[in-house]
Amino acid sequence: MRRSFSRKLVALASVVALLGLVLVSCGGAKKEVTINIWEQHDDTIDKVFDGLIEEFMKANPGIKVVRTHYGTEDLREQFRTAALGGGGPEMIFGPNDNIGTMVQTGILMPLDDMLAGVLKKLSPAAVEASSLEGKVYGLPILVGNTLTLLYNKSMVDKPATKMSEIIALTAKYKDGKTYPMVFNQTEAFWFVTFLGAFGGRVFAADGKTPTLNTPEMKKALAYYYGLKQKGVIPKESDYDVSDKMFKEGKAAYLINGPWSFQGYADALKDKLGIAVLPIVDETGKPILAWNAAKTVSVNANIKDKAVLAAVKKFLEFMATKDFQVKYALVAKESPANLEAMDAPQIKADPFINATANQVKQSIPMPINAEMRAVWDAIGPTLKKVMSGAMTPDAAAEGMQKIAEAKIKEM
Amino acid sequence: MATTAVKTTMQKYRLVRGVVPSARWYEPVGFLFLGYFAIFLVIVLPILFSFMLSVYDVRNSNIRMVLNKIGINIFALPFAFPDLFKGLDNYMKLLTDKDFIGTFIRSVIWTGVNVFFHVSIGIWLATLLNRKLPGKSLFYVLLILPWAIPQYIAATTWKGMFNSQFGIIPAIFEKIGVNDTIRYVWGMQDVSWLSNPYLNFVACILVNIWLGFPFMMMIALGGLQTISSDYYEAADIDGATAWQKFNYITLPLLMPIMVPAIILGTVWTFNMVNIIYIFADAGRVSEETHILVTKMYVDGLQYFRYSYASAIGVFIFIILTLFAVLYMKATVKED
Repeated sequence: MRRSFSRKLVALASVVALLGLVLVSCGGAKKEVTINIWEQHDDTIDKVFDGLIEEFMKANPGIKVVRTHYGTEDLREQFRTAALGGGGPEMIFGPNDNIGTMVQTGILMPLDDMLAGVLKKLSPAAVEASSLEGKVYGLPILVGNTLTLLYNKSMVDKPATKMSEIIALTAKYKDGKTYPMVFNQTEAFWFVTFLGAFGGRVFAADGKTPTLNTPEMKKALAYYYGLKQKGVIPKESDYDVSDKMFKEGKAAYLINGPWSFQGYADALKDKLGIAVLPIVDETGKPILAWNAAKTVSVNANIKDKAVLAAVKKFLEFMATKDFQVKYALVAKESPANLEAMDAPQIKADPFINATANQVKQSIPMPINAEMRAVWDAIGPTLKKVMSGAMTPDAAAEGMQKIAEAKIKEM
Repeated sequence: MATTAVKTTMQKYRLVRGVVPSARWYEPVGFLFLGYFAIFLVIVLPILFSFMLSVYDVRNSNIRMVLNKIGINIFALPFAFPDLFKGLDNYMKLLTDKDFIGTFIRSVIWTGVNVFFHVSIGIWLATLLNRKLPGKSLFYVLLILPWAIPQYIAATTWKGMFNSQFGIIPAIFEKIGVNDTIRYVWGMQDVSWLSNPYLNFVACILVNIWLGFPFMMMIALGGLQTISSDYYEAADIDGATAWQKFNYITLPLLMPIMVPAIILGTVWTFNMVNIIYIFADAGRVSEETHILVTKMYVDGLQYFRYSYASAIGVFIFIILTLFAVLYMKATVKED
C-alpha cells in the first residue's frame, strides 16, 4: 500500500514538472524567435562562426540562431528534401553552384527586397555571382574559389607569366617522373580556364544556350592535348595524383584553388609560391579562372513575419564589415563586403591576397541549372580527347550535342 | 473422475482433437495482418509508387507544385494533375534511345562477366580451402579481405593503381604486353585505363570481380562442408578422376546452395552504382561507361528527372524479376 502511494506521488510530481516545463517553454516561445542555419564548414571555421552567432544573439536577445553542420553533398540533399516537404531550415550556407537547380525547384526566396539595404556594400561581382535572371538568391559572404598558379620555389625562382616559360621547362625534366606542371587534367573545372584563354565561353550571351562547338573550343582542346603530348603535364593525372606530385617536389607548377593552400604550405613550408595564372602565348590572353561565391540563401517556405524579420536581421549582420573580416580570416578567402576587402588584416593575409589577385583575373561561374549539363558534356568528352580516342573537332561537336540533349530533357 | 477433468479442460481450451485451437476466422487474419501490412508498406507500395511516377511527367521544375498540392499521396496524381499524365512516353523514350540500348547491353555484359567470375573464382577457391592445408585460416582471412574493405576506399585505391602514368597495373600491363596488344588491335595511341571510356569500363569490371568473389567463396565453402565424404570415397572406389568427382558430385550438390546466391549476386551486380560512379570523376560518368543503374542514379538524383528515372527503375525491376523467375525455373528442372 505504501509503495503504491509513493509511486503515485512520483508520477504526480513528474507530471507537474513536465507541465511546468511545457509552460515555461511556451512562455519563452512568445518572446523568442528561432532561426536555423545549415552549413558545411570545417571545424576551425565553425568555432569562429559560433562565436559570431553568439555575438549576434547577445545584440538581439529575441532571436535564437541554431547552427547545424552537414557534409557538402548532404547539405544540398537534406535541404532539398526538407524544403520540398514544406519545412527545412530558414537559411542554407554553402557554395553557390547549386543555386540554379534549387531556384528551378522553387525552394529559394529572391532576396532583392530583404537585402536592399546591404547590396551596395558588397562587391558587384559577388552579387552577380549570386544572382539568377536578375534576382538575387543568396547573400555572398566570400568570393573566390578560383583556380590559381602555385609553384615550388626550390624548382623555379620566380613564377612564370607566360605558358611558354613553363613549356620550356620540359627540356629540363627528362626523368619521366618530374614534370613542369600538374593539375587535375581530366576535370572540366580545370579545362574551362584554358577555354577562357582562347576567348571561349560555355554559354551564349543569354546565359542559357551552350556554345561548345566553337573554333575557340577546338583550339583550346588541341592546346590542352598538346600540353600532354609535349610532356608539359603527365600522361594522366587527377586531383590526388597532382596533389601528391606537387607536395613531393615532382612538379614545378600546380593549378589548384584556395581550399588547398594550407596543405601545400604545410608540405613545402616557405618554398610555396602563389601567383596568378599565366598567359597563353598563342592568344596573348591569360588562363581565365572561374570564381564562385559562398552564399547564404533563404528557404522559400518561410511565411511567418517575425521569422522573416529575424532572418533579415541575421543576414544584415552577416553582411557587415566586422563579420566578414573575422569570417574571411579563418575561411582564408576574400570577403564580399567592399570595406572588409580593404581591411588591413585582410590585405596582410598572403592566402587571401593571392585569391583576391586571381579573382581580378576571373569570370563568375554560371550557376544556372543548365551548367550541370555543360559539366557533364565537357567532362567525359575531354577524357576522350586526352586519351587520344577523339579529335578536338569531333569532341567539340560531341560536347554540344550532349549538352543540348541533356538541357532539352531537364 | 480424473479423465472428465482433463476432458473439460480440453474442451475449455478447445484442445479436442480435430478442433482448431481458435476457430474464429478473424484471429489468424489478425495475426497475419501485421506482416502483410509491413510487406505492403515496404515492398508493394514503393513499386506502385515508382510505376505511378513513371507514367507521369514529374521533374525538377514541377516537383514542388506537385508536392504542395498532393503531398506524398502519389495516388492523388491523376485527379490533381491530369495534364501531367504521359502514358508510356517515358518507356518509349527509353526504348527508342540508341544510347539506352547500349547501356542495357552494357549492363548485361557487366552483370554476366562479373557474376561468372565471382562464381567460378569463388567455387575454385572454396574447393582449395576445403581440404587439409597448412595455414588455412590465414588464407581464409586474406581471401575475405576484399569484402571487408569499404567499397568506396577500395574503388578509390584501385583508381590510383590504374593511373596510366604512375599506377602499378598499367606498368605491369606494359611489361607483359597487354598494352601493346590493345594498341595493335584497336589502333589506340594512348592506353589509359581511366580516361578512355571503354578501357575504363573494363577496369571497373576487373575491380568489381576482385570485390565480389569472397562472397561467393564463403557461400560455396559453406556448401562444400555439407557434402558428405562418403560420396567421394565411393567415387574413389569406382576410380573416378578428380574432374569427374567435381563435375558429378561437388557441382550438383553445391547447386541448391549456389542458385540463391547467384540470383542475389546478379541483382546486386546489376544494381551496383559505386564502382562505376567512383571511377568517373565527380559522377561525370561517360555515356560509354554507364550501366542502367548509374544512369538512373544520375538522372534521378542529379538531374532530378523523377519520372524518367522511375521508368528506368521499373525497367530494371522487370528485367531482374524475369531473370530470377526464369533462372529458378531452369535450375529447378535440372534437379
